[in-house]
Amino acid sequence: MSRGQEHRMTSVHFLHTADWQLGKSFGRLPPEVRTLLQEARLEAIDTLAAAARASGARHVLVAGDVFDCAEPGDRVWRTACNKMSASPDVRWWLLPGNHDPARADGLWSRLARDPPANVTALLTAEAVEAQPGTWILPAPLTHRMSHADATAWFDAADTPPGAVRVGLAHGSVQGFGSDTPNNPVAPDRARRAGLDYLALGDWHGQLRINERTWYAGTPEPDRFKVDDMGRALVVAVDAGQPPRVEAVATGRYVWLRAELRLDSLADLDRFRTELEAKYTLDRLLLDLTVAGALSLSDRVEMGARLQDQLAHDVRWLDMDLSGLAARPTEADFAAIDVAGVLRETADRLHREAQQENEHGRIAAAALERLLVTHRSVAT
Amino acid sequence: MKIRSLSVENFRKFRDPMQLEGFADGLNLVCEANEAGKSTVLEAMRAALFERHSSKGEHIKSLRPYDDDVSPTVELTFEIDGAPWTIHKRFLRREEARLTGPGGERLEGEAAEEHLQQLLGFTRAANRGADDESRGALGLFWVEQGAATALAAPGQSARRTLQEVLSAEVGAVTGGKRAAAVLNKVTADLEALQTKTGVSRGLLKAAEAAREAAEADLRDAEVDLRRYGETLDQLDARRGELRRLEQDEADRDVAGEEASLAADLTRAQQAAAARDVANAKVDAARQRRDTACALIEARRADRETLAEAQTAVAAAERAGADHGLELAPVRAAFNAAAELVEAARQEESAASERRDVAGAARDSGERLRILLAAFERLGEAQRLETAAKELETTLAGNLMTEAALTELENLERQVGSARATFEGGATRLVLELTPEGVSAVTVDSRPVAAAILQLVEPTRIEVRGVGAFVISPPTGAGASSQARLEAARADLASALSRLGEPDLLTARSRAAARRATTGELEISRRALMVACPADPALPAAAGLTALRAAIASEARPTAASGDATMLKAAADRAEAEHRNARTALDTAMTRREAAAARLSEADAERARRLQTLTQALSDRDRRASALASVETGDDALEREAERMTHKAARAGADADEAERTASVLDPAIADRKLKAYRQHRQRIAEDRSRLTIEIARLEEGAKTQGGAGPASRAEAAREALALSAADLERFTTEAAVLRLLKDTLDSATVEASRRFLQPVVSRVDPLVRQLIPSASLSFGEDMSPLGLTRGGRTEEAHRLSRGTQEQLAVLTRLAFAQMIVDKGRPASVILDDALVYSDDARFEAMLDILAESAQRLQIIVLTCRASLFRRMDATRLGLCR
Repeated sequence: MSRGQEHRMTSVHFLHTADWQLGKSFGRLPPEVRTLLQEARLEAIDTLAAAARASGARHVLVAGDVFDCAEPGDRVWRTACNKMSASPDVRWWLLPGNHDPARADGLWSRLARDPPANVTALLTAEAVEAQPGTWILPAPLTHRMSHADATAWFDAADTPPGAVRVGLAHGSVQGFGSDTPNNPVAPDRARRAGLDYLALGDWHGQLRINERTWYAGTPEPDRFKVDDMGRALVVAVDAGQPPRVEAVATGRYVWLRAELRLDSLADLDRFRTELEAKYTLDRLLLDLTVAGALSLSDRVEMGARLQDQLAHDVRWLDMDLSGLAARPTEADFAAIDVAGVLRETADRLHREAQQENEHGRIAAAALERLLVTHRSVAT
Repeated sequence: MKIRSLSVENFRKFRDPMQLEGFADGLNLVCEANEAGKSTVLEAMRAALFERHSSKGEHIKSLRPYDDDVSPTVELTFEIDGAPWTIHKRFLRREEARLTGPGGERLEGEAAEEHLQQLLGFTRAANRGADDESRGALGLFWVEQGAATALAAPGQSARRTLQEVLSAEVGAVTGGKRAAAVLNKVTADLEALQTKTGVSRGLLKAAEAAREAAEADLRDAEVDLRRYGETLDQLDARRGELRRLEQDEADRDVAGEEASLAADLTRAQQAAAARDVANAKVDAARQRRDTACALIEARRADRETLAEAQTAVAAAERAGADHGLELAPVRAAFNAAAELVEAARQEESAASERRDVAGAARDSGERLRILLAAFERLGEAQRLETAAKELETTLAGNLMTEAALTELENLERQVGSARATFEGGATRLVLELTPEGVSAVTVDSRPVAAAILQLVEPTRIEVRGVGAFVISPPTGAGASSQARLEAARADLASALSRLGEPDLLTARSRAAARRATTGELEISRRALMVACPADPALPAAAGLTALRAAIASEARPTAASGDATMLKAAADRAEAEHRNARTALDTAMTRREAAAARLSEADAERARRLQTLTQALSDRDRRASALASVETGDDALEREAERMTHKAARAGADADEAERTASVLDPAIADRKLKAYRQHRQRIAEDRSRLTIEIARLEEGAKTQGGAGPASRAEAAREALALSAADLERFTTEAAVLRLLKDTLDSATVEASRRFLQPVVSRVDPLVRQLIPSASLSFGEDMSPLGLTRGGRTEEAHRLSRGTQEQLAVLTRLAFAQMIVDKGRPASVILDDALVYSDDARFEAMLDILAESAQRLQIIVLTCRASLFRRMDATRLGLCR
């Protein structure tokens, strides 16, 4: 039995993850939410380690964008290293991505100068033997944007015969997403380069490209637009066999984008009930777009409910009410006054609110404000 | 409402009961003098209606008469819609209120107060007393003294009443309290974000500041990030440089460039040395050739010089001979001149001798003459001297000099003077005695000596046989003057005796004789002086003694020897001859000197020629011997020169070859190249060192800058900026919303007010135009007069004159009252001393207006100026006590 055949018998278990984007600031969110989200990203490392351990994997391959930017500061990468070294039974393989490209004397140089024993930064495009018979072919990025396929060298990469070849790269699979992709990766790279598995990063949702090519997605969701975040992949490669790939949930927070059509306040109540059934509200970040048309008083009431109730119940609520038209009814006007200055003001504002321009929107808001103020004064 | 009567007691001025009755509908005039209590009337009416009977406030206390602790009491009767009402109030002690209605119904205390408030539309007074606010509309129409001059807004409750009236009239309602509250809230909300003038404040301002801060922060962060990137770029560049340098160094080492350059230098140095040797050979050959040629040339020159020297010798010899011929006559001329000099010298010597002899003869003759004269003068002088000596002897025997005479004269005068004194002071006793008496009489025991006695002391005159007479002259005087007289006489006698003169007379003649003798002696001495003048020729000084000394050794010549004049002429002649001889000698000597000079010159010329000859000879000899001494012959020299010329040509060819080689291999260039190479290596070493240091520095910088997380920071700053921009947007929008809401509310309010106030305007304006033609008064929403428009120009109400303001205030109140009465509500107008600022024309117009208004309204005018209102058709009332 040749040595190569011996290797053919090898199998390897590893956890494929990507896009940790540690140090992400979430600056558009309130400071208390920011802190929680940042902590959750760091704690994802523990979650990943636990998932690896649970599945018997000894390696965690991070397919780029470990950090949110090229220079997140020493504190961030040191904290991350501390977390990783706290799981000494797992070997961590880190790849620079487009968010954190490797530059001489930059973040990665400093990290690589003194890494924890179980952490390896893959800064050069050369095959590394992760364990006997299993070779990782890394495609580290050195620039934020590149039009060259960093994985091209995989095709000619030499590994011992029969070795398990695992590609590790970060970028867009060609034809995927934008027209002229940055950091392109050939979709058939795995086949062309004879890879057993190509672990990709960049896309934050989990995605299968082909049998041997996967995006793991980010382990902790960080945006509204993408589905299937908050996961990792447990990959088992038996030499010569297609890989067995299994998703594991790792995310703590849910980022939900929802569109709500409101024709009455009852619709809002229904929506809330559904939310409560599906999610733990204090782990929910909600981007709510409301459409529809309500009476002026209902609209005020709805605003109050969203603002004073739901906004406090979920972790964070972002609302877009621009699609929600207020249709003041005679009852709305009557609530203000039947005649006199207030009524005259309401009538005028209502007329001006019909204009389809900025002034119209301001007039609508002013009308709403009149109602709110009137109520507060009346009580 | 119509007021019908008022009665008061213990009320300020009115301690005693006072009634004011008979108020009619229309115009009522209460005309009283100052201090009569007109204003108290208004105060009492107000108290009756508006002050609470139970009040104990300071204002109520002030209603009492001054310093009197009594209970002010007031009772007012009035009609409402024709029904009579009476309110009776007593304050402070046993206070009470009692309202009696048209049907005789009575209400007491608070009930009376409350009913009254409802009836007349005012509100309960505060503890400190009623005010414009609580008095409501009625208060507005009851204008106290001086209060009508300002065009103020009616109080709130009055305004409310007016508004209610107006609302009923125009059928429009404002938002009332709610609208005001909404407006207040909106204004407050807006002003929390923006000042009235639109300047941001509060949260909006904070949001603006936050956004600016975020922008600045982002700028900073981007600068840091860029710097960090630059640091990395520089680091990369420096590393590349260092690599290239090291590669360059290694390449050069491998190529052995330095050794090759060193070998080049050695070769070049050798070629240069070879060229120098070749050149030296050329130079040597040329030098020997040149030496030979020079020798040949020198010999030819020597030969030519020798020939010239021989020629010169011949010439010198000829010149010597020629000069020998020229010298002889010069010498002869000199000798002749010398002889002439000798002859002239002898001649001069003889003339000199002759001159001396003649001179001596002349001199001795002259001496004799002088001596003779001197001896003659001596004889005369000696005679004069003898005469003088005789005179001197005479003088010596006569002591009566002028001084002695003067002395004697003085003494004589003293005697005279003493005598006069004595005779004046003594007792004069004249004795006229008979001769017999003479013996019988003694004076002081002595016989009588004289007939007259000058008695100066007690004198006893004894007459024998008779007795004695003692005469005592006055004590003292007589005795001393007698003594002085005696002394003077003694002095005179002594002097005469000393001079040997018997008496003064003789003395005087002797003195005259002495004076004569003295004169003679003087004359004789002068003659002696004249006889002995000074004689320089002798020589002798003036005087006999000198003369005698000068000729003491000389013998007296017998006579003059020869004629002095002749002798002198001879001497002069001899002198002239000598001078001539002398001149001749000088001339001869001059000539000889000239000849000597010529001779000397000729001698010198000869010596020169001789020397030239000697030199020419010597030169000729030297050259001849030199020429003779050179060993090498001309031929040998010619051959040497030719040989050396050939040799130099050959060596030159060699040198050219060496030069060509050397010019290709310039050691200076090779040296320069080697040095440049070494410098280059040095610079590379320095650069390497510098780069290493710089790389270390940059690495440190990258570490520090990167460690701070510039990219995170920049991203965070971008997000913070977006957040703050969103915040700002939110607050800006909110401000815009509030602004629009407020503006809309404001404009709706103005619009409502305008509509609302229309009835006021339509009532006031006709009145205003009666006063000021074509004028119109506008009102604010608080019903305060805003501006008066006339002739297209609007004046702000508060800028109008006091008179006009007062008139408009009265008009406005009349209009308001009219309006209220028209709506069936109670109102009557009371004017206390109003219109004091009006001019005559306006006053007249105001009277007309009052009269007209009084047709529908009860108006009570309280005034102190009866005459002004005289023409008015009014009910006139007086205070009844």
